[in-house]
Amino acid sequence: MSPVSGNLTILLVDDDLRILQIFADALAEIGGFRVLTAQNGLEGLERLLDARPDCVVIDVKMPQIDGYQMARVLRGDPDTADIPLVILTAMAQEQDRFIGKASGVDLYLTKPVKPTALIAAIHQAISLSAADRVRRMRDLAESPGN
Amino acid sequence: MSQNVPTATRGEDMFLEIERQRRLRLTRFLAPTFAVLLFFIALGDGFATIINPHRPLLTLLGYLGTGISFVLMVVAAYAAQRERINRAILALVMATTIFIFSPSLGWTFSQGVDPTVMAGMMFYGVIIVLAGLLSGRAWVTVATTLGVNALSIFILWYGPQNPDSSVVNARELGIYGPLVIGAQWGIALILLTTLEVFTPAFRELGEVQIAYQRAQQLDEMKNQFITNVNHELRNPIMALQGSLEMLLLTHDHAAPGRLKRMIEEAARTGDDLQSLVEGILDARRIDLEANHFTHEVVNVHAVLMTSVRLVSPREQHVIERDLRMHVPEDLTIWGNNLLLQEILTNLLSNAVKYSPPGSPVEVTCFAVPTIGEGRAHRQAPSPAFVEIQVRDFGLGIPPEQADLLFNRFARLPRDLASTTIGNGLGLYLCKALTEAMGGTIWFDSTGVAGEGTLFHVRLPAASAASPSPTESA
Repeated sequence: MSPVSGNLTILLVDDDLRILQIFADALAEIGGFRVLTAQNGLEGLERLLDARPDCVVIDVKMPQIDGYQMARVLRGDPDTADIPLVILTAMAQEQDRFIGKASGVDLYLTKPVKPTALIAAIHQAISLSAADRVRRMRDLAESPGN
Repeated sequence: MSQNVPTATRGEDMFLEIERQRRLRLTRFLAPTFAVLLFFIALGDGFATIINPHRPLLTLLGYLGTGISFVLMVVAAYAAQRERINRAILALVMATTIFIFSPSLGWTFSQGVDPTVMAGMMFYGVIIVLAGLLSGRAWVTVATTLGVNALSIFILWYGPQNPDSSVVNARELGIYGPLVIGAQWGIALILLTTLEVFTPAFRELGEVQIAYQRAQQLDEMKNQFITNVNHELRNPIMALQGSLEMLLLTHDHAAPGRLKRMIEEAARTGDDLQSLVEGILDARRIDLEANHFTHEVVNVHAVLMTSVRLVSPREQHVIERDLRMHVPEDLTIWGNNLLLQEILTNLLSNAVKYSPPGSPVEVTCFAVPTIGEGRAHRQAPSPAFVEIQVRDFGLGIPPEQADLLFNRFARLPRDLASTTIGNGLGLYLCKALTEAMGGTIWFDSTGVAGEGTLFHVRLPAASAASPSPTESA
């Protein structure tokens, strides 16, 4: 299968080692991404220091720093605020969805997700985030202050 | 710290606990409040003495009483803070008694019995009320009233007379004795009636409260369980689907070794799913069937060996563990082979799961000739028991979370946040199965990491219990 995603780098954060292995392989092989992995939020944030990924996929329920905390840290830092975020979680209750949507991530996916669906979601998050950026810049340009 | 969990969840004990909490709250409020009050009164007494040092010795003794009762009240506040409830109540009542009686005595033996002393006697009722309310027991109320009676009579009869007071005449007429004692018993009776009327109401209220709390707890546990199962199911399903889709899309160009690895991965995830689903069904099945099994003579050593073999493939790291077994080969219990196997498998699996790789696991087994500390008693004459102990050197169980451990769906908060797979059913099963066989299960844990947990399972020994085959129902 030919790489279709240019040289996009994805950071995948999940505490389930099996999912991490299988999906890192799948994202690389099927999606053509360059994949970084981390087993918890803290490790995920450390990875961000080394490389700036084009999209971050985070599991919610993790030891130490959970997915939402990590999302908040990412959104709070101007350097990383624009990175597209996909939340991937096993928590499928209504209030979980609400918290997910409200936490500023671009996409909220409920496990189980197949590799192809995840790849599609990553692309969608990247384009959503780009569109969002353009819209925000236009708003800024058209605001009465200028 | 020893946690005998099974008894802690009984309704009566929970009521006593609520009752204890009520008294503790009352003491914790009263003792410091009184202590502060007494501090200022003692301060006032001190100033009074400095300003006018020529006070009668017995008035000064009254002041000294205030000081002593202040110290006692501080002791009561401290004891209440440390949950030493009986000590706190005793100190509080003693402090109040000394505080109320010392000026009376001081005044009586310096000025003589007069209306001031009589007015002071009105406050004696406070002692009765405090002792009765704090202890919540009728005999304490009666005993305190009798004590207060005795002190009042002593002051009235043996105290010197104040020649300027009309009390002298009244005392001679024999009016004051019956009046004071009657008034004190009046207070005691009102208190006793109040306790008698309100205690059943409180108890009923307490029971409703307990039932409500239990229902809420169960509801919450069920929700938690559903969330757990949901979470536990979604991860393996995702891994399985991930592997399968990878296979589907890459099988025509992937290396054979890699293909094999992916297939193995998928198969292993399938196994995990199966054991998870079976665990859930087990709990349901045991609920229905725990009391319908055949009793037989079961060799503990043989069952233990089977259990070790059963645990090994499930928890990959058990093989590398130092499994120390001190189990005599001839020990037998009167129970059921499969039930014991389930118990030991669960305990061993937990021991391995919740302790660091490489740390040892100890299994000890011995005969207990008598009931011991009276834990298990199903029938008299009591059979001898066999105790099996499973010890790990892991994280241990925090004492404050120990009460819930044997409940269905219970998982410790730290485990929920970790990657350790579990459905919160293992110990619930262990308890249900042990009790079905007429045994008891409990554990010791300090909650200190590295000291681990020691589980005890005590089951009827075969030699003592087996002669009554009518038991096997």
